[in-house]
Amino acid sequence: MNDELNTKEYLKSMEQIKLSDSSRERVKNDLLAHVRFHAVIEETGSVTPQRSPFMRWLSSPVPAAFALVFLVGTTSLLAKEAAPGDFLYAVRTGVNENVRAVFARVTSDTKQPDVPSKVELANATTPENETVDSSSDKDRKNQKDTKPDKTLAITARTNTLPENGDAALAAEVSSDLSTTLSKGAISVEAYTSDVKLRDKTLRDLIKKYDPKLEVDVKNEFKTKLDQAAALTAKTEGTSEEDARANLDKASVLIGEVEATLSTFGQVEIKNGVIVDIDFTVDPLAQ
Amino acid sequence: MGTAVLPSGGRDVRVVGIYRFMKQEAFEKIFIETFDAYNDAIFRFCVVKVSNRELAEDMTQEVFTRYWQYVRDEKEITNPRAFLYTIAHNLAKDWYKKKKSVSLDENLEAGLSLPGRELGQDILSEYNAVLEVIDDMEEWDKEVLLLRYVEGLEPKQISEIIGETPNNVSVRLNRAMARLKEKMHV
Repeated sequence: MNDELNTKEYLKSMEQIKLSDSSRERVKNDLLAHVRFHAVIEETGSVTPQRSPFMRWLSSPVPAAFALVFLVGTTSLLAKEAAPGDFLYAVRTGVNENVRAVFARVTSDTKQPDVPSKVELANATTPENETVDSSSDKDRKNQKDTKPDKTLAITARTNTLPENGDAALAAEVSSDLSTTLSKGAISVEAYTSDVKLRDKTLRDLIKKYDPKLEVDVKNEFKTKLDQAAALTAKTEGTSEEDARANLDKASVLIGEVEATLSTFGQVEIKNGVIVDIDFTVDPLAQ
Repeated sequence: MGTAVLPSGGRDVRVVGIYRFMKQEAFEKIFIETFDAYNDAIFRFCVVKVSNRELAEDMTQEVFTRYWQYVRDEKEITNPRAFLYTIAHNLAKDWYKKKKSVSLDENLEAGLSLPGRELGQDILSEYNAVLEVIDDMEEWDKEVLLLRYVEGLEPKQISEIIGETPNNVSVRLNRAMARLKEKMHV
């Protein structure tokens, strides 16, 4: 029994076998370097084969967008001469004429002779379109009664956004908003205020969540927002055209920050501006 | 803090979400804690298995490198300690296979010594006499003795690591103990 105990005690002395401090430090540093090089953000598993530039282009949204434009354009063109009873007549009345009417409304300030109003369209069409005629009269009446406040319309548009941080939708609306703003829908002053508000809200948000953001990310955001602020500042004392061009660029930069931020968590959008973000929700998993 | 690099521009930037940085940070913390807790034990195991200090250091590093792959891939690890021993056990097994495949002539030509006899005098004096005594014992004997009486693992746990039944482990332990006693009293 004593023999056995002694042998166990004897074996126990092997506990003294340890890595030396220097070796432990070296191994740990090597491992940390490995861990960071092969970080979680890497795609695990097999290496994705390199694709040709054409295949990369093909898999991008661009060809799909081209195809869509071609399809819609061709259908619209074919429907242009459609007569009642034709297969594409519904497209002509339901889509083409509505689109033309919308264009007529948008450009009403600088009335162009080649873009007919909905009323003119309705008058020009065949008698079976009496309903269109009456509805266009109603539209015309409405237009007279309530002069549209375009800023309000834009706000209403952004208020319809679901507050679930859908990055794609946020980016789409952001870009849509910028396009609408840049087309002169609102004054340069209102456009400037909007850009400044978005810039300020983003800066506040970045400040609020400073510890959660990686240094590289913060630097990227700061660079873009500073560029946007510089462009916004340039609008003062310049022509309207130059001011709008600068605001467009600033808006795009801010939009990039908003889009990136919306991938980090669930964003809360109010009046077209990201006001808060919940980092615990993975937007890519939705 | 993770050091994942933000790719420049484009869609990639949007893919790298903050939650991934946080995940890297959390995984790294688990990894470091595991390393701090078990690096000596794994090194000890490797020293006993390969009887070479430098090789044991490299093997220890390799064990933790493989462990990281599992952590990163979010594979379930219920018992990190046993898991690390299993990796070390398999690495040592591969090492023995490779060693055996090298012929004696090639070995001598390359100036290498025979497997199992590479501890060197410096290591023996640096550590303790036990290594010298057990060095020429069977690989299996050394392994079970270390895991049972140095690391304090139960036969069932040892059986999971080396892929034997708990019964076989107990038998092997008794025999190894008897052989060690015999060696000590010779």
